[in-house]
Amino acid sequence: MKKYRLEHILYNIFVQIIFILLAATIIFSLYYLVANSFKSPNEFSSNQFAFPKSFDLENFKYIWNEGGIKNSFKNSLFICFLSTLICILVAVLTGFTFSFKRFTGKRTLSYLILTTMYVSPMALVVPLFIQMSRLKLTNSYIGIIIIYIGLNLAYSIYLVSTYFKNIPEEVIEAAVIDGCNNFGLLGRIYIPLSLSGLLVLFIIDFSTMWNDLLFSFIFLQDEKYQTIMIAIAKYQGKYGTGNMTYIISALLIATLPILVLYLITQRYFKRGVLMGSIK
Amino acid sequence: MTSKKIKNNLSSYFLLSPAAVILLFVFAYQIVNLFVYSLFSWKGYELTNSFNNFQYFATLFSKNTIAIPLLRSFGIIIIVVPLVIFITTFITHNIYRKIAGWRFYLWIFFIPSVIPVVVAGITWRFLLNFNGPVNMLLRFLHLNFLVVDWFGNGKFALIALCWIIIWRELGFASIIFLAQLNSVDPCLYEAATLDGANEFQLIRHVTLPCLNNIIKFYTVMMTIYVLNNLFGVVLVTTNGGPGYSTTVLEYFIYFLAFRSGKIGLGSAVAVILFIITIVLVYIYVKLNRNKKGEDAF
Repeated sequence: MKKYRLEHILYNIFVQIIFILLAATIIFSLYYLVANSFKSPNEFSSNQFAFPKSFDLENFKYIWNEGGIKNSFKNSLFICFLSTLICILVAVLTGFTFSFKRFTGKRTLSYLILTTMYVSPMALVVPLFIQMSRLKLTNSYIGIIIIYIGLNLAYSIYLVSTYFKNIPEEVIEAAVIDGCNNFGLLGRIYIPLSLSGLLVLFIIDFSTMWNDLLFSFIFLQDEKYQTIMIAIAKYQGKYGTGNMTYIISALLIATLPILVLYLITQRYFKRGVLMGSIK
Repeated sequence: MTSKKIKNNLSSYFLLSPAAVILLFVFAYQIVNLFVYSLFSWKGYELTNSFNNFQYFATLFSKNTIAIPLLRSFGIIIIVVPLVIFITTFITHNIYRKIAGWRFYLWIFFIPSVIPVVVAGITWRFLLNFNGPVNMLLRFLHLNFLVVDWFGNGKFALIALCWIIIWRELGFASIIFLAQLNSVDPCLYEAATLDGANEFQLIRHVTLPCLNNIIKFYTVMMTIYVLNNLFGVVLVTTNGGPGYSTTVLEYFIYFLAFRSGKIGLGSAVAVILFIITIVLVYIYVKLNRNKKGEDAF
């Protein structure tokens, strides 16, 4: 028994060491971002590990105004918010049709929609770019919004359908007997009863779009329309060597909205991601 | 077909039409276009009407142009996927066995998955800089042989890239694996412990067999993911370099089509990427088939 105890303790120490090392890489990266975003370039180059001497907002002010993050931040908010809203609206209509209606070709259609989730984004970029250029939709909000809706639609439909399946059938039958039509059913039964799920979907879709670099990078080359991720990617060339603290504060600005959204809803967020992953 | 059925069909298709229009434009139409672009000749940015006799594909295969980026992509997959599975199994097992502080670990390991790819990429680029914190720490620990210019050398840049992918992926993999493990009967663990199994034996003989299905499924899923989602990380960390050492298949398409103006050649590579992905998706669907013949939703 004693040998077993000792072995057990050694094993626990071994696991703790590995877990702490792994956790340290995460905690340190976050600390690195926060601490260095307040430092002046000189303070940064003399010591990257130290706690900042003062919580000086100079970097944030510069990057927000002169650096043009303000504009990109607004663009990102606008594009992601609108795309997510429309995407969920379309997904609700589609999810409702799939869970409530019966029609020819249902199974084939459901699989076709699901496959779009796995099409290589890079394979779409080339033809989409040519088509969008012809339609004069590059460097425009409409173009990128259409693309974002398309890319996130399959996942959203899938998630909406799983929420709709959990609505008790008696409730739906009762509403049908009372003479509810399609839109009545949607507005009075389906949407209100899955509101918390739809909120999670909103956050997942929003963060996916917020994090995207590929499509915004190709389709929004004009600085006027660029999203926050492109702005940051470009800062590397702009401030690369001398003013790394500017980039670091920009990184923090780009992460905060998503991190806060996640921290508020983390339990539901994880469940949503999990449901989406096991199809 | 009865008139009621026709009516029902029509109203269903009406409700599906917004989704159909968007998906047809963004996916179906563009895939057709992609094949057309790879099979017809280009003059600069203008598509001509002449069929090119598979000239772009011939170029790709004759000079081995495609082999190197393709191998590089699969090289990353071969490093990343088994490592993620190995580490995640270890993490999940110990979190399931409720090691001290497991709630905290579960919480913190998921954080990187929420950090945007661009932010994670640039942060690690700074951390792994030649005079950055990681190298400083290594020098402080007198591990000078480990101090390398991570992004200055092709081989190390690939390793750094793999590390960033693994770092961001662990949290997501953990919650999938843990969901599977939580559905396992805890009696299995009790019985094995009573028989005198230590924790390593438990991992090998209980946890691994229980995770078997999810590991198969995750391997294919992760392969598809890594093959198709490297652009962001590569662009912000290495930009395909030094030289072309981190030009993975996906980045190669971007490089050909948007940096060198060879739309036709880029489309041909994209067709190959598309076909590889479809094959993987087919395997993925086959693996998932055990759930009767139901609808996807």
